Amino acid sequence: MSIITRAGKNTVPVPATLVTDTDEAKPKRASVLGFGGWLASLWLILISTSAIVASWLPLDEPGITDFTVLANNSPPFEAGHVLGTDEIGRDILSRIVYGGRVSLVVAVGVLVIGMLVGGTIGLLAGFLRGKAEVVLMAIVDIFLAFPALILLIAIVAFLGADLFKVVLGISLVSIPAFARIARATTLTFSQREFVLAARAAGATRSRILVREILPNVILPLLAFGLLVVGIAIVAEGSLAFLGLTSQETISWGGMINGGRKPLQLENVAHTAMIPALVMFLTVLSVNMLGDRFRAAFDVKEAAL
Amino acid sequence: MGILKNVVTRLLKLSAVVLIVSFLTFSLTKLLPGDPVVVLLGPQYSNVEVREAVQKDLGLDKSLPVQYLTFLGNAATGDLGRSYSSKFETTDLLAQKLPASIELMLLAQFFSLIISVPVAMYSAYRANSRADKAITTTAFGLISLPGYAFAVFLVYLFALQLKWFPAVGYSPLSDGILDNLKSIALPVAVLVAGLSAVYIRLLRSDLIATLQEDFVLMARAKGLPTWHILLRHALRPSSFSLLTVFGIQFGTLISGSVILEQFFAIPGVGSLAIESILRRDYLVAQGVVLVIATAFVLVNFAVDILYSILDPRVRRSGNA
Amino acid sequence: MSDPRPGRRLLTASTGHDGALLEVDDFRTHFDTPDGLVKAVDGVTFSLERGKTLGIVGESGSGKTVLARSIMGLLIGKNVIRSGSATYNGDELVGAGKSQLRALWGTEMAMVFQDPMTSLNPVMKVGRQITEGLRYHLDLPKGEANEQAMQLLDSVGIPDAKRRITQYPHELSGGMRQRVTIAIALACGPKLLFADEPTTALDVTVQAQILNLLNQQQRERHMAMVLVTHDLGVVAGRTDEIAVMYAGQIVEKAPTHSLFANVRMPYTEALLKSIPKLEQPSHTRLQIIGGRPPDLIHPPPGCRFAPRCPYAQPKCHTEPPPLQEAETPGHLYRCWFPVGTDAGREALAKNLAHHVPAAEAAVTGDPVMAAKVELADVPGGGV
Repeated sequence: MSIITRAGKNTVPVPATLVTDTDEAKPKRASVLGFGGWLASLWLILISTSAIVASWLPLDEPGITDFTVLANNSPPFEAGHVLGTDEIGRDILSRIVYGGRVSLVVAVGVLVIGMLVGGTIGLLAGFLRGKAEVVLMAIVDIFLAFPALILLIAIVAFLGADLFKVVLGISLVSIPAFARIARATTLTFSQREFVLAARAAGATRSRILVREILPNVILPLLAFGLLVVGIAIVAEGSLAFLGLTSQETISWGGMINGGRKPLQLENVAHTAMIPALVMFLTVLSVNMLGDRFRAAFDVKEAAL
Repeated sequence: MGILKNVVTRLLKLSAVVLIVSFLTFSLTKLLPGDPVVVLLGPQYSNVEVREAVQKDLGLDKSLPVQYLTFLGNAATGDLGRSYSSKFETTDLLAQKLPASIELMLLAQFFSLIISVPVAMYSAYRANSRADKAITTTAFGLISLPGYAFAVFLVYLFALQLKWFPAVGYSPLSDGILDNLKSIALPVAVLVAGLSAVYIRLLRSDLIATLQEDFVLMARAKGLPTWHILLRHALRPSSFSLLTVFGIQFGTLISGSVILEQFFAIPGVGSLAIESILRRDYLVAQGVVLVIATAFVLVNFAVDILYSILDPRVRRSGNA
Repeated sequence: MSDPRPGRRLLTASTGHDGALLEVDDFRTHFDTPDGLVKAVDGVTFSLERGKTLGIVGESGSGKTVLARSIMGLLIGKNVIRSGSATYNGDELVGAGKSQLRALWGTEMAMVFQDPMTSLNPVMKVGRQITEGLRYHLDLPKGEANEQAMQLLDSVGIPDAKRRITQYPHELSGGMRQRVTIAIALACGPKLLFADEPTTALDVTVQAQILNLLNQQQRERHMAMVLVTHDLGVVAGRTDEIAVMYAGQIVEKAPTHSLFANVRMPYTEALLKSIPKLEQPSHTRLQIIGGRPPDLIHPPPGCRFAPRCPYAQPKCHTEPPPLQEAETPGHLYRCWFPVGTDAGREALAKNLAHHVPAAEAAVTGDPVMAAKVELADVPGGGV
């Protein structure tokens, strides 16, 4: 049902004022995930499982050039390569699967580090208020004042290009955002009455923080985290695309970069298009899931 | 008076942030591995006298705080050092690369805005209709599509198959406007797609919220036509989020389009930053990053001020 | 339908012929929701002449706000189903096209809303909100429109109109804002004015001023006015006729003095009794009506007030009473055992003897009893 008139207490179902064709009167009682959500989950499960068990799958070695193939960039379904070969003759399918590993590690890493560090900062800032909040948020704001991509590039250049450092760099850049969301959510909850009730019952501050507030903050933070994961995967792809990550790591972004010359100069599309498509589908799925979660826990982006 | 106090406070905060940004920039390049002198001298590095002379010349023999202050002082007077390799002044390099970046940014912002506003208005007015669902789904998809991935698709379709635009390369304005526009059409398109998706989502959701308000019902009850209500009553109170993000994008896009610059080989500011970092051309990197970061901060600051001016409720009380 | 954009017209409606301006006949408004069909307005009939005021009184959920908005045609959405008839000056409003309705809004009929803080655009100057109607409907140039706006502000009792025009709503007090909404509603000279709870959001001290203003404007402009409220005190002495609504229907309709003097329907009686009176001694218990408003999707069979009625008899629970006329002409009510009749008195006595909660609650004012009425209403919540 749409709007409630300002007449006050009881709800007279009066539909929206100017919005025509509103279907809001007939909300479909969809499951939390919905059709799109299920598809998204399936894709993500596919990508992550294949990435994990990659070594046991009957795949070609992703780093090795296949010299039996007559030309590089052979198109899909030819010469024993399901998705074709890339610009130096490596099997694309296996590179896609192994590339999923990087995305998976990035996703997990950013989620864990971001939520742990950023979440803690925000939680403390929102709960303790006063000087602690001012100081913590000032630091967070300063980092937010820096253009993220440049900061990320600089960090990676400083820390080094291997996968671990890349994940670290992306997580570091994502911490301020997590901190802000965690703080906003904590503020909302710490002002609710059940906290007051716990205090009145004599609970210590740390107990309240852990028992009452933390469980409530984790869920919206997780929903937000999924959205961040999507951005993180794109960021890693960007770094790989720019050639800033180590050459041995197989990454979809790197594959797209490798496919650039074939695409632009040699009129060969699949080398770049396939990883581009895979990346799109993955980020789309992550975003969809994040969106459903967010709708379920009603986190407002304005809280940022 | 409240406004004045407000502005002054913000200016103070701004100066603090700019100072910290400059410090971070400075320390980053100091922490980067590799000795710039090595890069500069090559095999001559083993020659102690030459090495020390160069170090003295570059001011690298002084203590770090002094170096930082020198750096600040120079930056304030417009001296951002020079490139080791090309011997160009950083400011000259920036001047060379800025036009392309600015052109990309302005065109992208302009087209995104003229697309997003009408589409969002229509979408909000007909919320949950089939057209609206198509629009929101497309927007969602575009947001999930990384720029470089979308660029691949666009190049395939428009450059390779249809041959309307070049797949790579930049033609500066001086070489003729038509060629120039053709060479940036695709990167601008990629930017516009991403920006529009964000703007449409923002504006649409704010509009839908505003359209539920009583004053919109009141405006209807006055007998005013729909377009008038959408444009005159609903748009202005709903545009704040959009304007904020729009403004911030001016700052972000200068450097944020670095990926597209690389993809389409467009000589822009972002590429300058990357290349100088990769080539360990520290002075240039430092200068460029400083400029980019400061511009970003300044733009955010300006947007902040504008926001408080635009919302009349805020204007009076003098605080956001 | 008249020309959608009438040219120059007099701003005060002419004192023309006095036929019924608004005729409403078996008017219904239902909402199609996933839970079922909500019958918010279910068969309302009345007529209103120019220069007369009709008060519509009811609790929240009685359908009074939906009625006003639905008659005007302001409700949109695929799930709104209007049926029956509502004619303005002979033209049918139900089923009329959007542009036809829009031609009427502002120029022929207007509405004043409850909360002036939310019904005014917070980022638009007050003057502009008045003049936009003038400029759109009457084609007035900017200067003239501003003049008119200032005159309007003057006529609704806002001093210093020239300065007020350039101000924003949040710079005005609540009472002044409501005066502005009234000015906006009256700007193009409508003949019919709906006032939807115009004073509910205002301070008590300001309420009388606003109501007086409405009455004054109505007299000067010879308008028909519909005053919607939950407060009987608001309509006493300010209306020519009162219609009491309950659960989407009119349960009593009478000329004002007749309603107060010879109340017939038990719901109206309960409403009257629940108004605290100055003459009563301190700490007099407030009379409340036990129970809750009925489910509009599945209203009770029979009389919809029966579950809460002190007079209710078995017949009331099964047969819905029709509107009947009382001895005073023009006084209609819907009840099998009306107040002030022998049948009614017997019914009440019978209920008291059987300790029916609703009856005991109404007579003694005991809140515990009143609570029991609510429980009796719920299946399995038996007394």
